[in-house]
Amino acid sequence: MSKSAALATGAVLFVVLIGWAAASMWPVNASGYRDRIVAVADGSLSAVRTVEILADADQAGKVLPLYAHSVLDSARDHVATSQYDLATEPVSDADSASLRDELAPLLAAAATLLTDDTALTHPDELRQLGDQLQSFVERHQ
Amino acid sequence: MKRLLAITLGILTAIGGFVDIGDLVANSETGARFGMSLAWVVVVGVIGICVYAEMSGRIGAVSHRAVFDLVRERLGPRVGLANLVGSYLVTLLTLSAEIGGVALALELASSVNYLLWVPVAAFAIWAALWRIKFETLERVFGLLGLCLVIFIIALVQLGPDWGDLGRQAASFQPTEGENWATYGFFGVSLFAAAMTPYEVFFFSSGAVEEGWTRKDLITERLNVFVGFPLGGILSLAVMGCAAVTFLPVGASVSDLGQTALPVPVALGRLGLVIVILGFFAATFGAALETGLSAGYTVAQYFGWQWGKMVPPRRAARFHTVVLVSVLLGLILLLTTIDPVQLTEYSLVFSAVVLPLTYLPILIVANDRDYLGDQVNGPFANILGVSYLIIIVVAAIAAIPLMIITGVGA
Repeated sequence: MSKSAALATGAVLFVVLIGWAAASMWPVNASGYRDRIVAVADGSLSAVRTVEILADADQAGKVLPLYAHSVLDSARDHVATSQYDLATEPVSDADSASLRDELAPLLAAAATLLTDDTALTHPDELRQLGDQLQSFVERHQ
Repeated sequence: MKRLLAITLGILTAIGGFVDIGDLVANSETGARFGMSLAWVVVVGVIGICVYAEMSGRIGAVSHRAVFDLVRERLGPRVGLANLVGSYLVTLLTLSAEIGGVALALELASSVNYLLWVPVAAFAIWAALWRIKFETLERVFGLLGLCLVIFIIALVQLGPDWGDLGRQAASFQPTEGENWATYGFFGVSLFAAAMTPYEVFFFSSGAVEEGWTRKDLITERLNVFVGFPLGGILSLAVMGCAAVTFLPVGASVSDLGQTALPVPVALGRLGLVIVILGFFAATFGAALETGLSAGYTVAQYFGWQWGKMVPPRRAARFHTVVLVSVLLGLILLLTTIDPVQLTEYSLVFSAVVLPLTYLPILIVANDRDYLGDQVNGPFANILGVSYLIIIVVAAIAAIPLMIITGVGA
């Protein structure tokens, strides 16, 4: 590889990295906030739905306890990440604040339900919460 | 009879060894978000890997030299170095992702956090690479990887609406709520998962390790043209299981525990045990292949003694590169980076370096000095060039799509 080709490759990589950094740090407007909040809700929706499927399988005696524990742990992590993301995303206007206020209790309910020792014994509650999160995602997508 | 057994064993090994952490992650994520609408990419990718794996195996069998060995000689040290740097870094990322996959499989079986398993997995992988013979490594983990056939059984047992799956497969567009950018991103990831560079290094170096000659070309082609497509069916079954289980409830997949979930739902505890064993075998086997490939690429470029067919003390630099690569993979995981995210990044960067890997193979496969009458025919060249165009498009699109979609988020 010639020196000029190596320099050009380095320059392209540098521009890509700067572009990536700028895209991730740029302040968001109301539309950007909505997109991010929907992604946050989607993460928790996936966690709740996964545990719902796991709970159904567990009730039917189809999963091993160690595996169930591992999947449940991972779902808790996802909900915790969603709560963190919601809490650290700055709100720029009243519409965004309303969106946050609508999602926050759903995430809190998900955290409560999944951290409960008996999480796998409440598939109906998980289903109901999953429906609420899905409705939120569909309405704001 | 003995030859038939060897061929059957080779094909079974190719099937079981086809799926690795990249295939598991990319196919289950895609199935959950896009149903079967990206299944065509798996088909395109499998044909592509067949085309180039056949070329690289043929190069090894006819010239008795591995691809990297010839790339430097044929294309010069500068082009060879660019090829080496790109391929080695991506193979290292993939190795790290595979070690993470082994640790995640152990976490699913034990419920002990994967980070505690990472050093154990890395040591076991290095010890296996140091002590166990090449053929034993390839066969044991390839055959154990066949446990993933459980995904096909689970898909049938889940009783999907086959017509609906067929309609998804024929739709060629994103599902509701997704956009073309994420569709493109996952398409590139799936393509890179099927055409991971280490697979051709391993295949061509393996041909030399096992002392293949022109007489083995039929076996080589059967392994590639039967084994890899059947391995591709396993990938599609993983995608199908995720499409049936997660897509209807709006859940996406982001960890290996979720990838496994459709199997116990369909087949109960025995299915769960088999799928976790399959995950372990697939990722452990791929970690061995990537670890060896890291050593192969560096040793072949610098012209060092390499391979498992010689005692470690006679290939000390090769084994040192393997050990250092495993250690680097271990260190990367101990930064607590999520192995699934690491896999996603490794697939994107694989896509970027694909042209660096596959262009030299196409050039060497057309060189009569090395291959004599076994150079590419017109059909192989048409396919090879067509795939090179697809590979270049995927390589150019990979990074912009990663940035636009936030790594598919």
